[in-house]
Amino acid sequence: MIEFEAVEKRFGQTKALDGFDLTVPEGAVLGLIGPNGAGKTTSMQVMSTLLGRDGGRVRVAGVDPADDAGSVRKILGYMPDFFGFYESLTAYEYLEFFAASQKIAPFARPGLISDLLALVDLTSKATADVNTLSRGMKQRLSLARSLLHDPQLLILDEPASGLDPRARVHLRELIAELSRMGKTVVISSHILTELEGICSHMAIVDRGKVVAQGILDDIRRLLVVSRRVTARMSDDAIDAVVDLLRGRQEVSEVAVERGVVRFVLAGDRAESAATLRHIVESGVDVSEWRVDDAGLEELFMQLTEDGDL
Amino acid sequence: MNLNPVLSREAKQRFRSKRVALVTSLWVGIIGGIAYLLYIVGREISVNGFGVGRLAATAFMGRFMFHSITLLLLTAIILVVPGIAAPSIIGERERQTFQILQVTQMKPWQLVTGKLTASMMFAVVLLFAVAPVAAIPLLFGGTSITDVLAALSMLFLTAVTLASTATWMSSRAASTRGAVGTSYLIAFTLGFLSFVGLGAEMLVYSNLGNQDPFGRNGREVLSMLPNPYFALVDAVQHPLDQTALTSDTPYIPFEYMLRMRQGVNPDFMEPAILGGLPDNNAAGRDLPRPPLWLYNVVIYGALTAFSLRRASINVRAPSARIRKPKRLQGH
Repeated sequence: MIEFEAVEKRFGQTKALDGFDLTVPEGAVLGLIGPNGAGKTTSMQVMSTLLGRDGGRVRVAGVDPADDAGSVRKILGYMPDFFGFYESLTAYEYLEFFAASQKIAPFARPGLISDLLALVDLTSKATADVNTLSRGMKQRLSLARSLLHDPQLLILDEPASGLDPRARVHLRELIAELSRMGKTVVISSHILTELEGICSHMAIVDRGKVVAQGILDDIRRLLVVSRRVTARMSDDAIDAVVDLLRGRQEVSEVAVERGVVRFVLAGDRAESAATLRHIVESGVDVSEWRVDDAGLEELFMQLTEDGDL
Repeated sequence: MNLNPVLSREAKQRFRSKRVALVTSLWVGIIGGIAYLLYIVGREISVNGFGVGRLAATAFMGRFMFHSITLLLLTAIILVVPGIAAPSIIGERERQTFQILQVTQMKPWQLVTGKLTASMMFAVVLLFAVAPVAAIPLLFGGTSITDVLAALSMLFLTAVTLASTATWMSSRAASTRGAVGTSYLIAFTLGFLSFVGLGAEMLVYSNLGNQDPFGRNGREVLSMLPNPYFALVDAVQHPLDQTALTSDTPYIPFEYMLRMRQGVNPDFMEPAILGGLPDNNAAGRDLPRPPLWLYNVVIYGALTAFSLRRASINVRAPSARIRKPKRLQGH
């Protein structure tokens, strides 16, 4: 659905995108993660036809947004990272205005708006002044606005920022629902745990580049991930195991705590199995062997310098 | 026919506000009050100046009121329209609604014309609100319906031009204050500073030894061409077609200048009220220059087209950069 190849974008001397490569498959929910200033919003503005580029190739549904922005806008729903609302308009009128802007026929608007208000659970607020809505409600109204013309592609820039936990859960359910409807969703966030639950794909952005991308499991598999290992054995075997572990290159941070050996293992599950086999073959009975995979946040910190969480 | 969505929304928002009713009532009250004062002044002048009968006196009163009201409305347009139109596009940027408008299926020119017509709408409402007051002079005679139509056309043209330039300024400004400031600068340059330009032009050419700077064989008076007051008077009064030398109304100074532009000797110009005779030297003769209002229409038309074109370019996306209003910079 979206392809970025070596895309460059400069603002004066600053390179906002510096060889940005990204592929978003059709029907995917892709999470774009990165610290502040990494290039998330800039890349989203490029794919949303708002911003031009200085180099590289961009295709959205097979079309270059710089050449044919109109075609891209027909299939695109964009929700920026801020609320833009008009005074003295009700939620219904707000959606009606944007329905007219999206060239939706007048006779089709009332039914469509009612359906969308129901989808985002704002039917009871249809006649309320937009400015009286809570932040979470405004965010949902903004999502309804971006869905008016039934776009196949949704670009949501930090939709969960500033929302309370309940509103976040609601938003998360909405995005899951949109995914079930077959829409392609690109969503950026700093809240990594939010994305972990809803995204099928992930792209980690740092300093204008995508440093890792793919389906979530692929990212974990592709990278040499540090795993925290906890091993339990008899007390008299601990010193021998510690010596043995310190002799292995992929092991670091070995520590003994209350009869348990903890260490960090650089490598995948096969590496973990090899280490265990090595200990067992040395004649030590291991009663417990627990491997904790790195979470997304740890991945993020690994991949981005000065990671901003 | 589908109404422009921007116009439709702004109409809904603007006319829902109680302030509009208040401003409109105040405006009608002020114009009505001024019209009454003009009636008193006109009556005094006609009673003292006309010995030829009641009909001539009332006709003069009608003409005096009509000319005064048109000049007043033109001044109001120069003072009010930029203030209404200048915040239009920068307001969307500051409200952070601009980007979500840009990614809709509205074309940039639709966005710009929506903003322009929304700004003009209120100005037109104000103009229509005082239409009954402006029509009073017709009851007295001395003015014709063609005079009224000519005046309305020139007022409308000026309003559209000023709203267009203000929309352009709004599309490129970093703050509402900047947009309002530059819009008023353009409006005041056209409306008021062109008088200063005219004075400077006369001074320069007098000092250069040219005794007849505005003579029929002399040069064109450039500062007069974009001035909306001269254009209004020229379109309404056609000074050179009048049987009297001048109208004796507030149009007098403009009529003098317009005649001078066509090479009529100022020494032969006397107000009708002082017994001026038909200006046979000027009326009906082969004029050396096209009427000034025609130049004005061409200049304002070009300025309007240029402004709307520039504004459309400024709101087009994708753009090289996202214009961020000053108020939001650093956010």
